[in-house]
Amino acid sequence: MKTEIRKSLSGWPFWLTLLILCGMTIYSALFIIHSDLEASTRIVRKVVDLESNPMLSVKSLYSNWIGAEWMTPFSTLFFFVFPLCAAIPYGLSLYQERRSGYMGQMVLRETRARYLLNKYVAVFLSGGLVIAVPVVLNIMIIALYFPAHAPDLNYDIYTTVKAFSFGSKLYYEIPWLYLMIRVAVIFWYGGVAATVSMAVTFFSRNRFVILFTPMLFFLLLNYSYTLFQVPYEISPLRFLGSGNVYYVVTPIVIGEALFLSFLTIAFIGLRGRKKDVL
Amino acid sequence: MEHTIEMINVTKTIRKSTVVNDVSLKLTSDKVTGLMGINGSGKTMLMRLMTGLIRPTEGSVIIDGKELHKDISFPDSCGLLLENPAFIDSYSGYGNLELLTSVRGRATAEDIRNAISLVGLDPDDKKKYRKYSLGMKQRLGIAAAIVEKPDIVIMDEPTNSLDTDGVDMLKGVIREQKNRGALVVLSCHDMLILKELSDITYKIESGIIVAGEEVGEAR
Repeated sequence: MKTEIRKSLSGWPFWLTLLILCGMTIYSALFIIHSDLEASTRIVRKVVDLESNPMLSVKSLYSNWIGAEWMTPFSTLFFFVFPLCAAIPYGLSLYQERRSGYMGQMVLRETRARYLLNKYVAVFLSGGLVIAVPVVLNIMIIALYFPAHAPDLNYDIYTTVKAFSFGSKLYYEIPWLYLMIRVAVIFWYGGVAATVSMAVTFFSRNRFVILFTPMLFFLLLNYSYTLFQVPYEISPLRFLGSGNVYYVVTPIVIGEALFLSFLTIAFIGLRGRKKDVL
Repeated sequence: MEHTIEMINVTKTIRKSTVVNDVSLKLTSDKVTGLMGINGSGKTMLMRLMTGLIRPTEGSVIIDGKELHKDISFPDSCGLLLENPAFIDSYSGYGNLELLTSVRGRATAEDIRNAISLVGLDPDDKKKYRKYSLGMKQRLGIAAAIVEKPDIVIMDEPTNSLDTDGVDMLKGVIREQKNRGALVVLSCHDMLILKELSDITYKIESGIIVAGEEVGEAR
């Protein structure tokens, strides 16, 4: 497993994708900070009179990190392309090793099940890390400027976390823990997206199909609201960031991640153990 | 201990096409076995069936008395070279073998160095695999097949990309594997080279064994 993880994190696709995504999240952070600096300057110069407005809340890290802001194009883009970006670092590795014959070398030495398990963990980790690390970087930059002031429920119009939505109690009571959970959920979905591409390897021989299927899958989910007819947000492309149209509730966020994880594990386990190594 | 591979009425069908048709064979470690046939005749599929990489549609493959996919998933000790060797591009030859052998821990650093030297490569060469010539890649593939001193050595077209020195090296490697008691199976479409390397040869056509002969008899 150590070997697989080392392989997954040492390739150029991992580092290139990480670099591009970090660029997006850094841009988002700098844009937000710059906007706030400009707004502050206007207030100081009395261009606008906001000092006496009691409806303004204190600006906080918790309402300005990339998972909470919706003002910059890169925050929208980041959560739109995350399934594709998660698959790039190592999602194709099973396909490549099956084609090249390297899989044959490995399964003869460690059995099919162990090979697939190691591969699954490595793909999951690379997908999760490549999405979560840029988010953490964004939080760190935002934290350099905005205070980690606990959000005030009376000013919930300034946040995307509404009462009774996913993690809302934590958000208003222990916001740093909420932030950690949000990052963990983003990591989880990144990992799941990457393993979807690994699962697709068993029924497609086209690398583009393998690479783009996670994104198409999440896009389908995004536009299938009318199909499921639930009054909650079901699209990770929306609820991982702050673009949710409907209420984001815990059972859907966690249940969907669990369900997708189970689905990919079951599919890879069943197909992978029986499929010939051609 | 003598090692055996027994194939009993093995048939393999892929997408309605029969690539191996009712093959029965018994291979033993006292003779190097050569499989010959034109491209697409079924040599590679037969070898994959022997290693457990693919499952027979019908029939059974028995390795040292244990049935593949029933008693065991893969042969317990098998070195394999299939057509084009596959390694990690960003690792050196030594690094690649170290990575492969680390899975089971059956080869020491000395074994890796010896195997690389035996095939005529330099174990201290830091050159990455992607910069290897085709001949060097093939030599490393042969080294990977023998590095763990497996009981069964299966090599599909081992002479690919090898020059005459390489073919001589291969003869030495095969002789050494036979001498230490390994069961060796080779395939090659060049009949002359194959007969030089093998003690017994089988001719395959459209997935069927059409002839088998001891090389001594042919000579």
